Formats: sequence, C-alpha cells, structure tokens
Amino acid sequence: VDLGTNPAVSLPELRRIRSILAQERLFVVVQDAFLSETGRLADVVLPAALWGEKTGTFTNADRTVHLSEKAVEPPGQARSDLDIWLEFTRMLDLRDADGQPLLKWSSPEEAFDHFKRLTSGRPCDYSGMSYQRLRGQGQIQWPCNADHPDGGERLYEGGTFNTDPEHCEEYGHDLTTGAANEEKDYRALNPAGRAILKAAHYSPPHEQPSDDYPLLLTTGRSVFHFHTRTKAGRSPQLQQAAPEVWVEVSSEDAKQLAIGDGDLVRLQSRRGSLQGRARIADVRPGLLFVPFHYGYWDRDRAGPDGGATAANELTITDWDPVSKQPYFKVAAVRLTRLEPAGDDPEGGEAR
Amino acid sequence: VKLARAISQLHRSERDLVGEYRRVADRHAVEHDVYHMCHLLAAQCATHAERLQPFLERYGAQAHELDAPELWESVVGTVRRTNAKLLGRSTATGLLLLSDLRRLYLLVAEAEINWWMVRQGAMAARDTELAELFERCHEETRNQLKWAKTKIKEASPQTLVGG
Repeated sequence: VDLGTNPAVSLPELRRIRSILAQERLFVVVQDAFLSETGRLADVVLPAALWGEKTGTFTNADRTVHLSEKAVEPPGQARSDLDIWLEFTRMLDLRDADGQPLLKWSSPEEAFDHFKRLTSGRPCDYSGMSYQRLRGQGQIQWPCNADHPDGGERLYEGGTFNTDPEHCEEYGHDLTTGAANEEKDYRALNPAGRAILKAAHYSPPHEQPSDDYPLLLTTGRSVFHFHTRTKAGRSPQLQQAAPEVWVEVSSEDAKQLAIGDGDLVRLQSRRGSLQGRARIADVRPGLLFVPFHYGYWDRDRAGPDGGATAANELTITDWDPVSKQPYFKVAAVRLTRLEPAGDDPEGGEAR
Repeated sequence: VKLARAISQLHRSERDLVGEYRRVADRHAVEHDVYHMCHLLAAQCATHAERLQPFLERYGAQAHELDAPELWESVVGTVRRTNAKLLGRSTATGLLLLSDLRRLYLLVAEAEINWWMVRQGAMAARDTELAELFERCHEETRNQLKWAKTKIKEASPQTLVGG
C-alpha cells in the first residue's frame, strides 16, 4: 500500500523500482489525489481528498500543530485518508477483547482526542490541546500539558535531554553499521538527561568515479517544485518557472567536453540514463547536479519512452544504515553531448 | 613466546573474516544493505590484519594469507553476484542469509575474544603499542558483532515464521 507518495519517481534506481512494482506476485494499492507514476503501476487506485477537502491537524517540523478545516467537498469518489482507513478496519472487522469494534471513534476530532491521550506523559505531549483551542489560538507547539499549558517554545530547557533510560524511546545505534545498542550498553553510558554526541569515522562513498563513469552526480530540488511535482506541476506558474529537467555542469567540465549552455546532453550511470539541457553553473569541477522532480505523469506514462528525465534513473540502491535515507547525493556518471542548443530552449524563468 | 600464538590467531580471525564478509556480500547481492555493509566490514578487517602485521614480525609469529587468491575470489565473486540476482528473494534465500549471518556472528565473536587475549597479553608484556592497537580496532570488532546480532534479530521473525 502506497499512501500519498510516489516511489516510482522518488526512490533510487527507477528501472528496478518499476520492475518490482510491476511484479505479478505483488498486489499494489495506491491512495493519492492524482494519478501518479506509481498509480499507473498499481492494481487498485483509491482516490483521496486533498488538504482543502478534509479536516485534520498537521504538525510542522518545529512541533507547531495546526488545524486545517475542510473548505470544499472532495471531487468524484475521492474520500479523506481517515475515512478510507476506517473503511478498511470495518471490512477487516477488527474487534477488542470484549468483542466491541476496535476503534470507538470515526471523526477527525475524535481521532485527535484519542491520539492526544496516547501522547500524555511522552516527549511529544499533545494532551493539553483540543480542536476548540486550535481554532481559538491558531497554533500550538507540543509539548502542551499541565507544565506547558500554552505549548512549549523550546525543548531541553535547563540542558535536560530526553536521554534518561526510563524515559527515552530507544537506545540508539552505531552510526557506521546501524548496529542497535542494547539496554545494558546504554545504561552503562549513564546518560541521565545529558546530551549524547556521536561521531563516525569517514567512509568513502560506495560508488567512486572511474574511467567509464568519471563524474559524480548529486541530485536535489528546485524552489519551484515539491517532490515529484504531483501538485506543483499542476500549478501553471510553478510549472512554467521550471518546466523541464536540466543538468548543471561546471564551466571547467563543460569546456573539456565541448558542451555549451543549453546543449542537449545525456547522463549515463551503471543503472540507467537521462537526457536534458545543460546549464553551465557554479558547481565544483567533477560534480554534476540534476533536480529529481521530473517523472512521466504529465506524459501519461509510468516510465520513460525514449529520453528519460527522472534523476533517480541514475542513482544507486544503497542507504544510510541508521536513518535508512537513500544515498541520493553520490552516483558515478558519464556525460555526453547530444545536440547543440536549439532556437527553442524551454529553459523557463528558473535559469 | 606464547603471545605470538595469540597474535597469530587474531590475525587469522581477521583474515578469515575478510574472505567471509566478501562471500556473504556477493551471495546476497540483492540485499543491498547486506552487500554494501559486508564489503565495508571486510575492508575494516583487512585494515586490522594489516595493522597487526608489524606485531607478527616483532614476535616472530606466523602470518595467515587469504584462503583463496584475489583473482580467484574476484571471478567467483562475479558468479556469486549473478547467481544472487537470478535467485532473487524467496524463503530459501532468506534462510540462507540467516544462516550466513549466524556464521559471521560466531566468527566475529572469535575475533573479539582474540582481541581481548592479545590486549591482556600486551599489558602483561608492557607492549604499549600493541595495547594501543587494541584501542583502535576492538571497538570496530565489537560493533561488527552488534551489527550481525541486529541483522539476525531483524531477519528472524519474517524468515522463521512468515510465508
């Protein structure tokens, strides 16, 4: 089940991801507001409501909780994620030890009230919040409880961290291998509310530039798009500002490979290839940059037909052992020039 | 001296682990985290063995070479990786991974206790350089042991009870 994300563009080594999602033995369910690349590979697609079409809270990275109210009805058969999940639990007939339905609630507000009771006494304490308070106050940061009735602006006041063995949520990992610490190792450190600073020795990237693939590719974002453009690409201003993929090359490498600004180029790695216009940019010699937003949904396809545009065609299946974040920033590639810049370079305003 | 024998045993453990990590990596090339981590840990063990080399000479101990020549290993490694890709993932490959990780755990445990023997011997012989080598390497060996245990704990439920 894939809920509101798009692994057929956002995960590394897309040829591999498409072949996995297309397997007969895998039953793929995608729940999204728009038909994404991943949705095109799914066995079942559940249309979901967007933020203005449903009520619920969201929590920012700085712990601020907002209430977002439904403004319009979702179109067609689309339903909110919560309603879809509740329908699942009813179909599965999940029950508690007394034979009663497992979930006693059905509205977003009831779900929030149940959730906030679960957080009581934990680091992310929502217990002092309510829909009424969020409507009145607008925004509240957790922790919000008897000690912090209006929410807590700062964590770790007085230099006390959530490291006490009785209070912490896990015992941590070795950064190099991801090996889990055990309770007795952790207690032996005697953290008792002190911060734990961790270090790891340098280890070289698992894929290094070679004679065949002499350049290093790093992938990233444009300010005009979010993730795989599922929403941003449907906003004409944002789409026009950065309409197509590009390849940033240092002036040194461009000179050596006789590549001019706007030339059509091909990037090739051990896993796949990509085509786009070159931009001579202020990147380090030996390094290339490609934004990862450009999949195939706006060409009504799950994958490329001819020149590929998704940066993750090139990236490597490898991830950090602790955070499990894929290594999007290091892949060895080869750069070649295909055609000179035409009269109609669709560079957009992002140049 | 008898310390020479302990150093030689430790050196052998580390050299054996280099080969074993590489074999497990290539045999499970479709498990990307296992593949990359085993190659990284093989490099750690190779560095340990290299750092032990001067002490082998100092104590007149016997050196252990890799049990198979590099060229042979690189050819067989390619065959193992291709084989892993053809086999893909199944209950059988899951069980094989668990059994490989279990063997790795036991081999690393042997290396870890060998490090302690050498360290205690080095302290008694007042060989501060050898004792310092323990400080530089033993932590990594201990983390290798924790890594194998973590992977075994992760893989066991699905492999032993799942479909």
